Amino acid sequence: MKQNNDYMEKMLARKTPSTGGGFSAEGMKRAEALMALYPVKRSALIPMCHLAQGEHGWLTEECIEEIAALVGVSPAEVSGTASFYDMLHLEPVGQYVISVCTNIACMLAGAYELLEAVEERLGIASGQTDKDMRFTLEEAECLGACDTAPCLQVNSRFFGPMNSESFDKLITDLASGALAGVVPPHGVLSRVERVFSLTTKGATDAAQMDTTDAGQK
Amino acid sequence: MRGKNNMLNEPIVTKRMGFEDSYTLERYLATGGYEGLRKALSMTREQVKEEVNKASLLGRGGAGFPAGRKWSMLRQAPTSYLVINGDESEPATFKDHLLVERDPHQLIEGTMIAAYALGVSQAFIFTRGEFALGIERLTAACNEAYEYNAVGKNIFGSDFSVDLVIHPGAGAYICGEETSLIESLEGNRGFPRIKPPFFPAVTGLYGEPTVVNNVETMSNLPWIVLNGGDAFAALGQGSSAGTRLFALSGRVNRPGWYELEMSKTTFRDLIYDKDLGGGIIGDKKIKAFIPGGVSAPWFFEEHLDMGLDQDAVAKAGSMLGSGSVVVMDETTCVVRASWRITRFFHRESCGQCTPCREGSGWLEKIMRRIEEGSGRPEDLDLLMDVCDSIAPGVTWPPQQTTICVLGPSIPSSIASAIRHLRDEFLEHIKLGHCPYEKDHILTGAAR
Amino acid sequence: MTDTVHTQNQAEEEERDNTVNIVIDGVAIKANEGELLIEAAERNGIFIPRFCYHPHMEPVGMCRMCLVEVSGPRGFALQPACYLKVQENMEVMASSDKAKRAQEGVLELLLINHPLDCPVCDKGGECPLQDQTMSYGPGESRFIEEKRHFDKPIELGPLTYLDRERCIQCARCTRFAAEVAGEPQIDFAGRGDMTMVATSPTRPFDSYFSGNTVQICPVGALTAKAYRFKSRPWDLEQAETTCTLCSVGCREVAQSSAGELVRYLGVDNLTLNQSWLCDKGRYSFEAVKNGRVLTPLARHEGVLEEVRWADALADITAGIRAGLAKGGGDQIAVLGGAKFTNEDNYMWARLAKGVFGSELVDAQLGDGFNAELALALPRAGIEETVNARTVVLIAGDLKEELPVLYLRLYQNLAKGKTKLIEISPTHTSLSDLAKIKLSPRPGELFSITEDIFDVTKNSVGSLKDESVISSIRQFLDVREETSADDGEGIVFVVGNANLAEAPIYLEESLKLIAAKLPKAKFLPALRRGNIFGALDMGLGPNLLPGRINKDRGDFFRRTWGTLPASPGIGTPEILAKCAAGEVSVLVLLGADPLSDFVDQALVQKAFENTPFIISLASHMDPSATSADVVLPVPYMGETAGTVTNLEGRVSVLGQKVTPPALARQPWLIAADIARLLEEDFGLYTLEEVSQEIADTVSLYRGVSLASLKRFGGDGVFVPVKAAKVKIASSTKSIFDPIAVPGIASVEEQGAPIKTGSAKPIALQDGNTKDSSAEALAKGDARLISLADVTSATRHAGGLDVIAEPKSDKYSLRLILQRDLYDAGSTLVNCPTLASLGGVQEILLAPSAASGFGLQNGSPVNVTGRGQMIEAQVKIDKSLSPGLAVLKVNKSKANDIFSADVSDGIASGRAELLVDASALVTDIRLETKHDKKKELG
Ligand SMILES: Cc1cc2nc3c(=O)[nH]c(=O)nc-3n(C[C@H](O)[C@H](O)[C@H](O)COP(=O)(O)O)c2cc1C
Ligand code: SF4
Ligand code: FES
Repeated sequence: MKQNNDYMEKMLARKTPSTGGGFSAEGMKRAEALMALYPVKRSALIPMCHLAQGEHGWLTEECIEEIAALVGVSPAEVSGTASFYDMLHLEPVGQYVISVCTNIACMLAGAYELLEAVEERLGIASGQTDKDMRFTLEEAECLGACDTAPCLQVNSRFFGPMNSESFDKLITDLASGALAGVVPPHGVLSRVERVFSLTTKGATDAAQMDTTDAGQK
Repeated sequence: MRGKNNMLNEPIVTKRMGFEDSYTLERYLATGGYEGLRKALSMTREQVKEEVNKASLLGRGGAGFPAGRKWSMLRQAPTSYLVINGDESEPATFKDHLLVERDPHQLIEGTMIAAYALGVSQAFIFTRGEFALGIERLTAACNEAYEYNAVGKNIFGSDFSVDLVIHPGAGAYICGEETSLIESLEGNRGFPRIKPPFFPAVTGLYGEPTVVNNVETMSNLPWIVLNGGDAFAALGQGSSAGTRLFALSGRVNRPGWYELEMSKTTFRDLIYDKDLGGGIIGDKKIKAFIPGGVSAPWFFEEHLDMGLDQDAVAKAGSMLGSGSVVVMDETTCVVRASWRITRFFHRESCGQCTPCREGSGWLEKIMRRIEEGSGRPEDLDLLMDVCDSIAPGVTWPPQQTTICVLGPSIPSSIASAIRHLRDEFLEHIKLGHCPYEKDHILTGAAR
Repeated sequence: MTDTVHTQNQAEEEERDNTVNIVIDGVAIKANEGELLIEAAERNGIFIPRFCYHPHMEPVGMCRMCLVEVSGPRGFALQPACYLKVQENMEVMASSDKAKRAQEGVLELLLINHPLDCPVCDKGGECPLQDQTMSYGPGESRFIEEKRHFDKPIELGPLTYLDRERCIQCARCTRFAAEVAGEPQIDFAGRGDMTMVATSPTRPFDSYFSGNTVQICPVGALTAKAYRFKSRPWDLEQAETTCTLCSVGCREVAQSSAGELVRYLGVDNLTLNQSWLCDKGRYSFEAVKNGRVLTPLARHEGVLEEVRWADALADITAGIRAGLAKGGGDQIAVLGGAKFTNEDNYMWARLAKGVFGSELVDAQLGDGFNAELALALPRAGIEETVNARTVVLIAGDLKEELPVLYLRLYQNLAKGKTKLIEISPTHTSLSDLAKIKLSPRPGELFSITEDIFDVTKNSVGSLKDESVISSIRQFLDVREETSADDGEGIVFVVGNANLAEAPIYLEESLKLIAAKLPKAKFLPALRRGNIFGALDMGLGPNLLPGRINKDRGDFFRRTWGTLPASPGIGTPEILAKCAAGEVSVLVLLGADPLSDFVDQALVQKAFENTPFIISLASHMDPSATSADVVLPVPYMGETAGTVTNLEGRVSVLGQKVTPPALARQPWLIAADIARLLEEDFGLYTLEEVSQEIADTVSLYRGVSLASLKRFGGDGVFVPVKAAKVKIASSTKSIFDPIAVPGIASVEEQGAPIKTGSAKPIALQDGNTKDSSAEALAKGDARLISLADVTSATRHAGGLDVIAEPKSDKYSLRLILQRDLYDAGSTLVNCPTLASLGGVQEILLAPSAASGFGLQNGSPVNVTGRGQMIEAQVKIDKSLSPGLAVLKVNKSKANDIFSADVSDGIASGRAELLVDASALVTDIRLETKHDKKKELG
């Protein structure tokens, strides 16, 4: 998987969550491309929220307004819809969102003990963000990795089974940048972008697409 | 992810799991990839459907509805859609996660086969948002598949074209429910749709007929097309045909995924066989196990020798559901276990129906109070009564006062625990803490 | 259910026999196909409890309160009666143990997190949750856990508070916002039991219709700033009445506590406002207490002083006598009437025309169009309009002018029940739903209308918007050969969309349309409260009571003794006469031209040059302040009588509170003045006036206060098709206790609705004297018809002058419009609304704005006619470059009295820029420095 466009580099290089702002010019183009994927543009609402989080780390007010205007709904519908979903944050979150699963399988493997250790190590309770905006801690429902219980996610990337020692190491690695290739900034869901659209189906079109920025093999 | 499939002569959905690069097109093609789709395209739509019918492929998403039957219900209309349900969030379930992350091409191939059989030109794979790596690999695979012409215009030179969109979810269990998933895919909050209409196959995405199928269901299709429905049906037994991916977790030595022939393997095999679950940690005794995700009523020691068979499990009052088995040993606190499951439903209730929205919260609060030592004996009746407000009679299969079946899933764990382990509950209440506290290796406080 | 529309529907239904047989609790019932089970049950006297169901919104089946057992393929199962449609042979158990158990369960669960603050909750005593708990609920709570907590009430918007703890997530408010109002400014946020109603973080809930969400909230979660903690239902008294702030005339109840008006609630009727009100109407009750004229005032040595009624009336009679002596009726002008009742207006018409002999009489203040034409056009009702095959809007923004008509139309357009063609100069609230949208420039409407109907123009290629016009032709089915069927099913909603443009373009277009589409109907969007009552009673140029042209006035000449000799003229010409010093006495019937007429320079001059100005006013508005005699009259809520809305629906005002001690009803003032002029009308009570109308005005034959009161409810349409009116129980729907909780509970607690008794009557019940029948027979009371409409009073030179005038390249052509929250006396006198007025904004096309180097929010000076006003720029992508849009009466609310014309710079009053006699108005922009920046 190679992703060599400037836009993605910029997203991946983001060190801190932003304090606000709308889509970048490039982000706006991607938002429009997302809408073009669906028969009804409102379907792109949630992907666009992810896109906004990829740019800012959270769903900013400006992006809410822009998404609303793009899909033709009210800002209240965008924020109301987004707030239904656990992954979408309407307030700034830390650079790393750590989600510790405590659901049944992880609990039976010591998830609450892990959570306590994590809280102690980070100095914040679950639901909180540290004051440097480095970490946000969440107690998560089953993350779907119960064979590695107790497990946790950092920015939606899996780690498990974990204990307090391996968590300490995880924090050290995050700080040193050793995990930069594994854990992108919060909000970046996929480092690979779709390069096809409804109008560029099939092999011939793909060949043409290849010469553009996001071409990949 | 840990798992095994060597109980089988030939694994169906997990055959590439041994390869580090199982998710690449290169590996996929090297291991027979897209041959099923090529073959399907050489058949008529009816022929493909017929093979799926013969295979008796039960939906792997939880409800276990035969895929062939569902397909035949698709209302004829100028536009219809295929939506693949990869929202897998049922606690202790991690099979779709595996299939999306480790064999995305197989999923895409299956999806294309289904799209062809159904005559659908627009398909979506709704993937749980938390599976970021899976989404990444699936997106890459989708790009590759377009380039390889396995997706897109005139697939493999045929006159069949289809567009595929990988749609990321954003974190809500309820979006696994198919009508909620459709709402979410339309850009709305994930409120399940009220019935009637009863099936998306009549009115689904954008009001058009829509087939919603699970990731694992799709992943079986390339094999079925290549080997024939009969070959699939020859595995397993009766309606529980083929193999299934079981997700084993909890207090076992070897948690992980296991692709097993249905019916022929028993729960005891799964949990205790040295090549599978490997028995219970510390050789403790089993107290209870969940046979198919936390929505399912619990099973106990007496059920261990039952086959992994949809009908048998249903007859015994539970369900094979999402194929995830959670084992609780003799030291597990049933109050705490059922509290944690209740808490999950409370957090994940979408909020539409009063009984589910409020009932889940009330149950959670009572359970927590008992767990924390302030329980009253009469709470057990109260718990059952609140359960009754959500699922009248607390029966199986459940009746419901709610729109979707998340509601009546809430009582499953509570009713199982109270009905079968009432004494332990009472003991917990009397002591003000778990009677097995000293046996816990783990002591963390509930919250 | 009150009128012919409904009875016709019923008849049709019976004909088609689309009923299905169902069984509820063992009783066989006939239900209408496609009907919701809950509705079928209710019509048959079985009340199924409910919360989220609302009769005027799509069901969601969320609260689960209405669960009943319904037979299905797998036996009986619990199903929501509010969502399930009836089907042949459906078997229902609505009160089985299982259904009861389910309902009790839901109720118990709704209560566990509901705070027990009924004693301090506005809804306490009229709360469906409270009520149903009494009827269906468990005795005591088994819930001993801690309840869910939210921060105390939050302000959702300027008029509405939300107490999230009380919310039961029924989605009524959010559905209303999205589905009925078309403004989803509020939506659910969060999930599960943390689901709450919320705005976006960026914008408040500032809909014009926010009050409706408060009214339909089944608990006290949404409360109104204007009503919070004001009263308790058991202290309330109520009367059903009609809102007279605009000509839609929504039915509502006025509720008072200890003699003080505290609340208006919309009445749930089927064909009018369906329980909805706009916020301006709903909260206007506050104006009853503020800024009132309390006693008669007369100007002595330049100062208005309190005087006794007798003295004021003596002054007036003397002034009128002097005027009459100087030059007869032409010396006396009478403006206004739209705020008054039909009885008031009838008496003033009789006084002005029959006693003064004046034709300088007009109830419209120059913002509508030719009154004779408006009355002559074949009229459509609201129900007919919103269900029409095609609606053509040739008017301004209905949301700003006739808010509840907008609601009704929006809902049906959104549901696809009707289609819209919009021919309106600006982007309106309905534009996005229009199948075709055409934006004529000022002065262009008539040529566009000609294009539409001149089918031969096709080939010439002279059409401006050829494709648009040809699709309009398709929609309207315009063909070369017209037939009598043409226009069937089409309703034109017509009004003046640009107050800076002469109405002749509209008037000539309407005549053309009516001629080309003889079956089309029209809903004239004249905006003022009881304007149709005023015109129907004769307060318009060339009009006599009953939509009769003066030329056919023999009947009134006989009964009234005399009629004016001069031809009638409209307000602009009347004011021009005043300005020229040709008028001695100007009577203002609740009219306030100083803040309510587009050409301010003209009004100023008219006031300066008219020696004697009399104002009948409820509030001390600018015109009253400048008058010589001011007479206190009652305000909305204090008035009894009847009014007529834009459909021609006559309804009864329920007087709920007493007016200030010295206020007098305008009709009484007219009777007094007549008597002092030795012309006793012999009418001494309101009932007598009303009866005279019923007797002598053929259009209102039999429609009197007495018959209407017995008839009750939503009023009757004039002309009454007496034979067809078969009246069912007219006000039944307002008693759905959950659709309109406030009204039903007050009713239950002993204050029944005053005008709403539901006894069916025949209107022709022998009360009618023969006089109007006689007049009809003689043929001199024939309703005005299009043939009677005298050609437009201005620019009578003919159609050639109404080609679009040229504009120079430095100017912008002005579109002057109304918005709901202008600085009129309602906003000024209602504390909770006052802040909503906002400042003058000038809408410019993006290119025009950038040409001047202006951005959103830039301050500019706007000049025209030697005047200069201030405005703030707002860029509007839908506008074309040569145009600018301003709003009427848009100074800051507290700025309104200080509009200083003399030095040329004054607030934001666009009316300073308009010449009422011009065809169109051009303005120029001057950029200016931001004062704040300069200071800083
Ligand atoms: C609360 C709830 C959650 C569900 N979650 C999932 C899920 O995560 N994945 C899934 O495939 N099906 C899930 N289902 C089942 C789906 O509604 C649907 O039956 C299934 O996707 C159909 O696919 P299948 O026929 O291939 O099994 C869920 C159902 C409910 C009621
Ligand atoms: S049962 Fe629960 S999750 Fe399902 S629709 Fe109702 S509230 Fe939502
Ligand atoms: S579910 Fe029927 S009234 Fe709410």
